[in-house]
Amino acid sequence: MKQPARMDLLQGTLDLLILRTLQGEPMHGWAVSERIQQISEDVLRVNQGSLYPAMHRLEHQGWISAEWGVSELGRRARFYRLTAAGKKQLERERENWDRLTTAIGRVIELA
Amino acid sequence: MQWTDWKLRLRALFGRAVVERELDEEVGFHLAMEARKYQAHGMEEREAMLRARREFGGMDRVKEECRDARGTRWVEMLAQDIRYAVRCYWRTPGFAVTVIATIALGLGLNTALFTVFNAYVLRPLAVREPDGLYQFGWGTRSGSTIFTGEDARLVRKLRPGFQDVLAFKPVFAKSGGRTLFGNRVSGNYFSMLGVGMAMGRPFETEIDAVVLSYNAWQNKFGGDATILGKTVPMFGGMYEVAGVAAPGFDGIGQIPADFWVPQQAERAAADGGQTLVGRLARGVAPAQQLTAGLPEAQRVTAVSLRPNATTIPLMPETVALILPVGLAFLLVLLIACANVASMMAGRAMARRREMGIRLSLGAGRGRLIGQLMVEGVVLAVPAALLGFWVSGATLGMMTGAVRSTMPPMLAKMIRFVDLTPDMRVFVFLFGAALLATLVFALLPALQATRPRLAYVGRPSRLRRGLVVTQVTVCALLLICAGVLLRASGQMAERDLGFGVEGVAVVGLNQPVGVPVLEAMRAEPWNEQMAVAWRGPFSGPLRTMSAGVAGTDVSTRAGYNFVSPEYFDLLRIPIVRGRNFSAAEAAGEGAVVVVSEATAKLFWPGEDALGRTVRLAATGLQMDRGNRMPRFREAEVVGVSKDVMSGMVTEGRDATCLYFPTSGAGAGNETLLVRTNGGTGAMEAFLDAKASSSILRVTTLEELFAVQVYPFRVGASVSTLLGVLSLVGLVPEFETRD
Repeated sequence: MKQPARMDLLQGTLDLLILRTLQGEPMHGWAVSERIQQISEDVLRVNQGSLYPAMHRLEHQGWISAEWGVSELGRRARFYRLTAAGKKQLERERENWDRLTTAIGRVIELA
Repeated sequence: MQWTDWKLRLRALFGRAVVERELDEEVGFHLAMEARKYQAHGMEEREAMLRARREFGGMDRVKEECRDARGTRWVEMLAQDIRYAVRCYWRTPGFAVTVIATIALGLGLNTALFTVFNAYVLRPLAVREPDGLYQFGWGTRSGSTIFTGEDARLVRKLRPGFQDVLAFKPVFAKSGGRTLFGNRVSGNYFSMLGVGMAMGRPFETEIDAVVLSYNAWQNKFGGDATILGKTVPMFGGMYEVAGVAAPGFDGIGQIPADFWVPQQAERAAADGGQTLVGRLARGVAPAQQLTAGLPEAQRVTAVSLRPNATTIPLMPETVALILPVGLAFLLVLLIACANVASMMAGRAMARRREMGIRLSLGAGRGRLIGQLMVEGVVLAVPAALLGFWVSGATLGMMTGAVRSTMPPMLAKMIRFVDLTPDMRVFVFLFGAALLATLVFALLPALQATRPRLAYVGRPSRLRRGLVVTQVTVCALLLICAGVLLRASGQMAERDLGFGVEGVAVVGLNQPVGVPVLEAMRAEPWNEQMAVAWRGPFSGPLRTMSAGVAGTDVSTRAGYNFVSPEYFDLLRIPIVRGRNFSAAEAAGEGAVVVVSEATAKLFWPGEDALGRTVRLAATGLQMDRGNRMPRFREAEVVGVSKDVMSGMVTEGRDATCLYFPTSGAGAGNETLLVRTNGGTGAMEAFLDAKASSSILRVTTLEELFAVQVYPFRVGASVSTLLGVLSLVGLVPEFETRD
């Protein structure tokens, strides 16, 4: 299997990615990491070791909530869903991200 | 901090097993999905599983990080430390019990002292807005601040700077076999203080009503629910119970009052010993001078105000008085802490290897100190609980001991203030326990965790410092005890200059009348009887301005009115001249017997006999509560030996002028009777013949004991503390090699 060039995630962006990924439907942890990888066409690979601590932190913040459900394996899995507070947080983090990328873009273009 | 967060934290704490299982399951599911993905790409099942694990990274580290996210790590760590500490102490119960008992003793003694301090100095009186109350005093040229009823009436009329002013005077009353302590109070007493009634009403204009304190009603009148309207015999009359004051109110003086009766205006007018308490007008600062419009402005030179929000005001003088006692108690606690600290340090030293290894394995020093502190707190909590019990037991024992060693006259009359602990006491106990823990746990912890390459087998500087402090404190306390013991011993053996044995003292509130005195003189138990204005040991001698006739130099000289039998009865020798004649006594003639010291002061090196003393008499019979001679000059007919008839602490009376009086004289407050075989027969006689005149019956020996008593208490307390701290030193010397 060919390994595409991996990029380390910027500090703090993992939260944004998790929240955005959960915007559609409830998912379990593995699916979140797979989805991020797929959509980014294997550019972004979530360090699986930091995924779960991040999700538990978000859960404590009240931005996502967890619930046990039955997975495609027929086995119990923990499904995470975005909460109302999480939606607001997602918007805030998106705005921050946009401002950051615009600013970096301008510096790269014009400096 | 959000609700979900708390919910999850609580779940993590109390459903720890479930949460851990769920974490395992979640990670397990992740690995299974990952392995399935690799299998779909054609990998062997075993290899796929291994690959998934490798991708996931260090399983335990990830789980730790997930646990960190829960934010309950410190609680778990704390619980772990506590469990560890309890297990350790369980294995060495002797150590734990010694530490807990030592600290509990120190805490208990200090809490007991604080409870007393709190009851007198900190706990606000149970009245409306106690902070506005000030006790009022006048400084006059003669230095006298004794208020008479007339002064009280004037001040109340003028109310300088005050909304209102009340007057009260402490009195004792014998009532149906009980001795009660109470106050004669002005009519506005209850309304000005804003004290409610548990039942009934306060008195207004009537003169024979009494209000009982809740405490006295419960303990001395059996809580009789139908007491309102019943009469209580007091002061030779019958007083109707008008009300029972609200619980918790014991008056505003220093001795809790059992009852309050109204002041009779005409009798109180010339009666001294009034205490005036005002409620400061709004917007008037306590420091503001309040002399405006005061009577006899030329005589009143200063006005003093003393806060009366608590039983004893919290003023620099109070603090200066209590500080040495407080320090002595605190030092005992510190000795206890120092002992425990060296025990803890010894234990910590034994664990230096463990500490060293853990430090080199990367455990933070803070974490280790934290663990040692937890070990301290595990001992401090039971010590504080036990200390609370010790303080209660100490107070019980102390009041019991005071009661049984106190001269019976005091014990009969005085009720102690309420010593139930309140919030302030608990805060104090908590603070003291905290301080103790810091001393006995933190210091050794800091020392034991100091990274050092090798343990030097020498007592540490900390330990040596502790021992030096202990020895110093112990010596200090024992010296104090010695000084006080000596003082009380000296006082007890002091040559008073007169004989006190077997002399009964009868306090009068009005003359008993010559016929009763004659009947009394004939009684078989009566060996000898004398009449006096004031008896020995009833406080400092009253003074008046006096000097040598023909000069205008005056001094304040002590004086008294006594019948001729006074000198014989008390075995006071007349060294020059003669005693009063019967005619001089009956007529209260213008003659005087002076003490030797007075003679020496007035006529140094000369014979005093036949000389004349000039007196600043005002012509009034009573002045500011003092009985005055009606003459302005008196001839010296005799010189008597010096005696200590005022305050024993002040030694022999510096000056004393004896003026003649007899049983027929008005204003005499004391009968002295030398009886054979106790005072029982005499009391029975007085109860039958003159009960309305009798305030109290006691003996000179008892009055003397009352004066010596405070020294004995001081000596006992410092001996106790000194011995405790000495015992605290023993382990130190035992461990010396």
